Amino acid sequence: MKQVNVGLIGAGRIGKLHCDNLLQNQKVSIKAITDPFMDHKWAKSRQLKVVSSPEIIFKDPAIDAVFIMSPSTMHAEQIIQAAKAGKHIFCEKPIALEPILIKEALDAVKKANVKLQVGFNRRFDPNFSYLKEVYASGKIGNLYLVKIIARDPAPPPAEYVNQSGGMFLDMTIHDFDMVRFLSGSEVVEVYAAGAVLVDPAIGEAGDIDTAITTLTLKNGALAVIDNSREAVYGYDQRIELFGSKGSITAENNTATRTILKTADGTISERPLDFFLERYQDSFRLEVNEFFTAIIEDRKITANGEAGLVSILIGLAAKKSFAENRPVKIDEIKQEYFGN
Amino acid sequence: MYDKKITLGMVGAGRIGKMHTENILTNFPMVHIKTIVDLELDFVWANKVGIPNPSKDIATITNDSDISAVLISTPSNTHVDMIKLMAGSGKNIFCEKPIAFDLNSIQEAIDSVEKAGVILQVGFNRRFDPDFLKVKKIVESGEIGQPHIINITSRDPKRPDIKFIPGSGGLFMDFCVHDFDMVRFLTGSDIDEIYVRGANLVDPKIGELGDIDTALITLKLSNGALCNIDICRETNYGYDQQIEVFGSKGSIRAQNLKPTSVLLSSTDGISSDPLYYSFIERYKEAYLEEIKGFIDCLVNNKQPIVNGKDTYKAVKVAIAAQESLKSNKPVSLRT
Repeated sequence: MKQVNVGLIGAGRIGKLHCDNLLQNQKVSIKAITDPFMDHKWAKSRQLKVVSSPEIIFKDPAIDAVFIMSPSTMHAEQIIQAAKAGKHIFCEKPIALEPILIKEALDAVKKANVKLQVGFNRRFDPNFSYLKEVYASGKIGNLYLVKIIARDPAPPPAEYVNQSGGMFLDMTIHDFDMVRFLSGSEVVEVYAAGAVLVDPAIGEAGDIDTAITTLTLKNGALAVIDNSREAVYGYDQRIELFGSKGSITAENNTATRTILKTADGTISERPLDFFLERYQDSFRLEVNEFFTAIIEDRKITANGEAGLVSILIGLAAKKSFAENRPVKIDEIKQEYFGN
Repeated sequence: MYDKKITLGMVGAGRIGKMHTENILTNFPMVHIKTIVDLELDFVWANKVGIPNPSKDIATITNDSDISAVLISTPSNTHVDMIKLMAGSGKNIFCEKPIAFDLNSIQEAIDSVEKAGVILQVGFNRRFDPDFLKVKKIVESGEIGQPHIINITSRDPKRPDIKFIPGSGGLFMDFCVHDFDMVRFLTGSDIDEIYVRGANLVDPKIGELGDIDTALITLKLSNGALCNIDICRETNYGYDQQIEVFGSKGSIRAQNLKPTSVLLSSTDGISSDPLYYSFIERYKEAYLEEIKGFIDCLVNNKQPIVNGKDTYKAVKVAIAAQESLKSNKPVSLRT
């Protein structure tokens, strides 16, 4: 296989972004796109073939792989249908908020023996993949701490938090995956302290907007994630890996590297807003890995397992916050899957 | 600077005692160090720096009415007795942290000081660090709005001698008390709750002695803010001391200090000086400024900005930290 034929399900903000990246990718040919609320003007400008339902894409024998970028409540079911149709699948996170649904989707993928990649784009960010590379090289020795700062520039509307599953499942989930990715280890236990400090409406909607989550990893290292829904100075995304021989830090990306000096002081640029800009490269690189994996029949790293485990950690964090106690991931597994 | 001359007695002349003595002799001409007492006094050093009255007997200070103030830097387990003794002799007191590892003893020391009507300043030197003072000033000015997250990194360059661990009071009492005090200082808020995630990663011998060497501490403050402190006994790259206060209108960060700000660009990349290695170098100004603050209290009859009550509160958090580590549960400090 030299070129992969794809069908796209969903043409919202993230759908359009992936679509535009795919149009630039030599490994890909977009065969069809569907969305119940299709922006036809946009689709026409890209010369895309619009179809009326995902089923048409699943049934099309010319299509090798599908991109699921629909609302997250539809992901699991669409994965199952795509797998049954023998398509490779790229799915935006989260697969689902309920572990049982994720498990069903993963079982279908396994049974159909197709590839599934989950949209943990940050794994492909050049800064963060370099952190992992340096850690793997042994330069910082044995891992002691993973320290993640992840703060959004502005809070979402309070209506959004209801359907998002809450801060831990919507926002921190990226960081949980990042901890696993960077450490190469598993999360054993979580403690989450949370607060409503940014917007009381978020609190009234039953969510929090500020949190500090600490985790113990299987390899003995510790991790901490600090989250806020609003950093007025921009999208603050920093990570440090600290080990027995040293530490490596990824600082924020800025649009330029200029520094302004005046009588008021020294000013460098604010971090890039928002995730579409900050993680621009990662979106291209993640789909590139997906297609390489299909063409060369390689293993996917941001796989279904990563999608499931991050949700389990998120649920543990949610429970930890609700009950104000540390929660083991095993407790959550037990709760949803029994022995 | 001041017209009044202060006669000071030094109690304890170990590493910190010597540093304070030399600092005072070099920087504060209005202070006269008349006497220095230490059970194992290094007389050669005392004569070299020019202390008129070096002694092994504490009575040379308590019986001397010329001496109006003392600086205590004896081993931690002697602090309470020394404070009581000096307060009883009417001396104003500067005492190294943490006074004691238990709250009753600290309270006894506070009571003796209050009864005698003397000043007690405790050696939480970091409150006097220019960078952290600037952070506090910005926080107080409202420029970053309401504090939401306080993020402290506090890592030692090298693990301590293993012999030091048993008498140290443990990681929280020995090391983190500074950070607990810093959180209270910067936010002007008390600590309501603590949860500790600890590990023994640096040296298994530390674990065998029942202590840990790496920790993540989560605090909930009474003003609603959350705080994370990351602690480690060894970095190998220097003394890593950073603070960020993140608030509704912005964030302020104190970064690490280095001996110079020189940058070297080579084929390997761009490199700057390693961080300061010892706390004496990193907090050089803070050690001077805290003594300056103490002298100011003596001369102008002011109350110190860090007193026995602050120590009591920091030690209370350290005790709760130990409890949280042991039980693996958050521990409330609300009274």
